[in-house]
Amino acid sequence: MKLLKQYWLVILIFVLVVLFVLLRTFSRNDFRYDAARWAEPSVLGSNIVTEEMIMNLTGEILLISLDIEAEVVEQLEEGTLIINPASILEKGNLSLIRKNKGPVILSSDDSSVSARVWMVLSQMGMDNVYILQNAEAGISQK
Amino acid sequence: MNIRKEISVLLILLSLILAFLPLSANRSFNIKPDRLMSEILSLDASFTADQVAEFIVKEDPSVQLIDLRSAEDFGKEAIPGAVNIPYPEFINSDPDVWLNNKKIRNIFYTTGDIESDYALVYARGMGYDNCYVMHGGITEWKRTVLQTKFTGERITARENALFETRRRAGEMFTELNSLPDSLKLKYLESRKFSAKKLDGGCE
Repeated sequence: MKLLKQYWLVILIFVLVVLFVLLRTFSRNDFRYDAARWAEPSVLGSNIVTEEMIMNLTGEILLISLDIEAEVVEQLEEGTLIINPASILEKGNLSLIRKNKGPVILSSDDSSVSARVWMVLSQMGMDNVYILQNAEAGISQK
Repeated sequence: MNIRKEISVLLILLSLILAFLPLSANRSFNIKPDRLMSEILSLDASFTADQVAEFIVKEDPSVQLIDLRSAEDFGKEAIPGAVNIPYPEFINSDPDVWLNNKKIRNIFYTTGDIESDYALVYARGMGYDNCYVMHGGITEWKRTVLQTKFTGERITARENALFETRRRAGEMFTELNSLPDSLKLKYLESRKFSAKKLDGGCE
């Protein structure tokens, strides 16, 4: 007690700094530390799945079709959504991705859109997000 | 004396926090996700093959093409003026080495799109808003510039300028890539991005 009284100011500053650091580190609305670590699957190519590979994935699969013409979130059938990429960071959409107990697979006619959205979500700490390889458009790691 | 003690204790505690902070914290995204998303989905983040051809023909000094393919692929075929930073190296190095000159527009390209798109988000996320992609990569560039053919009967002045730019860019591409291996290697080596930072002072 005596120590608390003696160092109250120091302890207060320390607690505030710790809270700030914890908030910055684990904040779910911001990006995580160490960008290279979160980008690693894109270097290894482990963030890309083919239709055949989906069959072997375990857990609830959420397929998100990124369509720039979609106005709102549309549910096609269970486990399949159409989302406008510009609105994927809305609270409800992020919550759907985070709460999904299994892989979240992004698909788009334009491979650029899936790749860009994947990198953003990955840097926010979502490690269960994958890109569906579009055979027709020929997404490849090269 | 008391104040000294208090400051000492505070410094020790703060140094403990520093000790546990990730060392790579300086290489984290530092802009708000919403802002990043609107930037990267904007058409302004991409250049077309024709725009890139024009930069090459005009030898625009404010543009730097960055080829993210492997050194082997770069050695086989490269767009004139491009520098090579293989994608894994780009991700695992300090991007400030490549992108710190804010007056230069850095344009990423790969064979297709995907890795240049990752690189675009990675760079923009770290605050390098001078980064762009060439849509379609070298595949689209070759299709647009090298395989160009006018099939109409009358050509407008604008179309003529466009085809002239494509022709000139195509020639430059062919000239570079048909050099004898030894000369080409020398040229490409000189275009390999040197990841050295100037320390200042004279040697």
